Amino acid sequence: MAAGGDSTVLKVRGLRVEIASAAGVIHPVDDISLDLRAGETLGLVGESGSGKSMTGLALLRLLPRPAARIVAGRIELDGTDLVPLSEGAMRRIRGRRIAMILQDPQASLNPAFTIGNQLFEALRAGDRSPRQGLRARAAGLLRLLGLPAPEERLQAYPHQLSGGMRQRVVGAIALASDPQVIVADEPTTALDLTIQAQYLALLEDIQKRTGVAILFITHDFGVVARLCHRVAVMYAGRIVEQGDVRDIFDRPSHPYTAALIRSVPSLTARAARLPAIAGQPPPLSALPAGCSFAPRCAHAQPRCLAQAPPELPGRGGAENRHVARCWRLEDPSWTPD
Amino acid sequence: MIRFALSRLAQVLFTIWAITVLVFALSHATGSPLDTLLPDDATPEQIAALTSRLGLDQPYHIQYLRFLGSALQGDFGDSLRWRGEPALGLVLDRLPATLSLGGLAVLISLAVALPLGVVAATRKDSWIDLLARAIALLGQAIPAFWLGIVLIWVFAVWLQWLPTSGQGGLRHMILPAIAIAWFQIAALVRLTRSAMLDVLDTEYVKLARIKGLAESRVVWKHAFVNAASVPLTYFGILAGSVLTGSIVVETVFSWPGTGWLAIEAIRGRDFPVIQAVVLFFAVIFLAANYLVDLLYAWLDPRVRHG
Repeated sequence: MAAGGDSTVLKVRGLRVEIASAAGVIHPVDDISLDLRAGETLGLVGESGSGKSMTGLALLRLLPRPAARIVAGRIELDGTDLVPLSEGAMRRIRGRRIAMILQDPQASLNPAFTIGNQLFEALRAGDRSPRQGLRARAAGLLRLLGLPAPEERLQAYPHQLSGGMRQRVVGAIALASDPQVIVADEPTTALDLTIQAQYLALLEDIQKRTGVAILFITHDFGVVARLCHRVAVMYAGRIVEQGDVRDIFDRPSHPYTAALIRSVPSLTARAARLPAIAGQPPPLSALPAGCSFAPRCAHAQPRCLAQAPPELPGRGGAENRHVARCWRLEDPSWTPD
Repeated sequence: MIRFALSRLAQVLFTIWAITVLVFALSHATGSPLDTLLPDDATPEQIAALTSRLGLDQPYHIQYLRFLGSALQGDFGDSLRWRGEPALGLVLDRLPATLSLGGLAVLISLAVALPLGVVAATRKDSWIDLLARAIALLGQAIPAFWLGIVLIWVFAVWLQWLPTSGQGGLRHMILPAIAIAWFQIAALVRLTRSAMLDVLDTEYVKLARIKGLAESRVVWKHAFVNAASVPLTYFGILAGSVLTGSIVVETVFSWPGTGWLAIEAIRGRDFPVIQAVVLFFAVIFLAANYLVDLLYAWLDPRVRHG
């Protein structure tokens, strides 16, 4: 599984993103801490609006300007804090040391330029090496991503490729300069199920070869189980539980995680009806005083509504870096199932 | 691409043919040219002689075919007002004056409007964006002839920096060119700005930033090339307005171009010259739009291969 030792390449501490609007100040990303090791895939899971995409953009310092900005925290990429860097310095890190795959392969390639043109750009961004060999390297990347006839694809325009092929090209662009970290924001959501499975297998294969660390943003627990080594569950801008994928599935320690897993359709156990979580996530402009999930939680106690819970060791144990934000964990015999 | 070019060309030719019919019909609907050609006390014999010499006694379809046949050879007949001068010759003589003025106006508007529109979009709500929006609003609210008169009053009469009217060197062209460019700048700034705002919001521009490209490359390569199709489409209309707009501005500035010629010809009911001017304007207007269509296809591979 994950590479051992202290090979942490991305260390996020207390990251906080603020959006100031006429309606008031909200924090779509609130006090997020993550560790990502080389060769490891961390699944960042949550419903839409939970702040997972905003977290991904914040890591590359590409938050929508001027509305959103990072107001607190550190993003250490291989020991360098990205938060205080100038825009110019940040640009030299983007694409080279940290890359990103966007959700929609239809929209993320520029319709006016060939695949080759857009790949060369990414390759040249990596190092200022001469143009020679660029074509061969580009074709090699496309081959690595499993595109047939890569030399011809370089001449093609995005509209001449299928969605699956385009997403492979976007993957090739992300890998062009051999980054340490790739943020993949729901890269398979727009693909057909069979293509989706191929793409995930491809990502796994590439990770084995290159040792790249992947932050995989998704709302799909099935994909998480298939691909990820570790999982962080987001709710209303906060990470409510984080741990190894086995602990998350076998010993979920936050009632929200447990409820999410119960709502994943299973092929083996046929439930008459999928259990849904009652209620809606709270609006970020009016978060409850205590635990954000408490108003929907079947396990809530008076304290949950009054006071936000700290990070406590999860049922998988602190030694396995399993933590969750739930008061009920103070009772070792309690389970959220 | 070739199929695309040919099918567009067929449309252009059809349009030109339709315009010849319109021109022919309209010129006969506005009264007989005999009234201006002959004195009030002309005898019936004189009227009959001129009618048959001009072919006005023939059925309309014969008159039209004759007109079309000669027009194809560039012959619109001789001017009635400037006696003995071939109508097309008059138009061609005046053309350089109009084209040089219009060309300068287009250069001014492109040089001002494109950068201003792009920068306004990249710095939305900054002072430069507010300036661009003010120009777009004013430009469309102020008519060219009024602006021309104000320019003459301020820069020629009051400050005496530039001549009031007539043809001469570049100095004579500055004020009329600005009067023509003003409206174009307004429209182009608005179009460029809104097209850039749309494109800057796309995922592929986000991906260009993710790649770590310099902001200038993100804006001018990835965004502008895609946004350009909008102002480019307008550019065809712009090329047309250089000619049609010239009618008003050339009259205000006494600029001896085709626009002024058109006004003179209309006043004198000079059918051959009117027909020559209108058809000529139409051909140039359509040719400009045709070129824009080709450019548009060249910029957008989806059109090129579609």
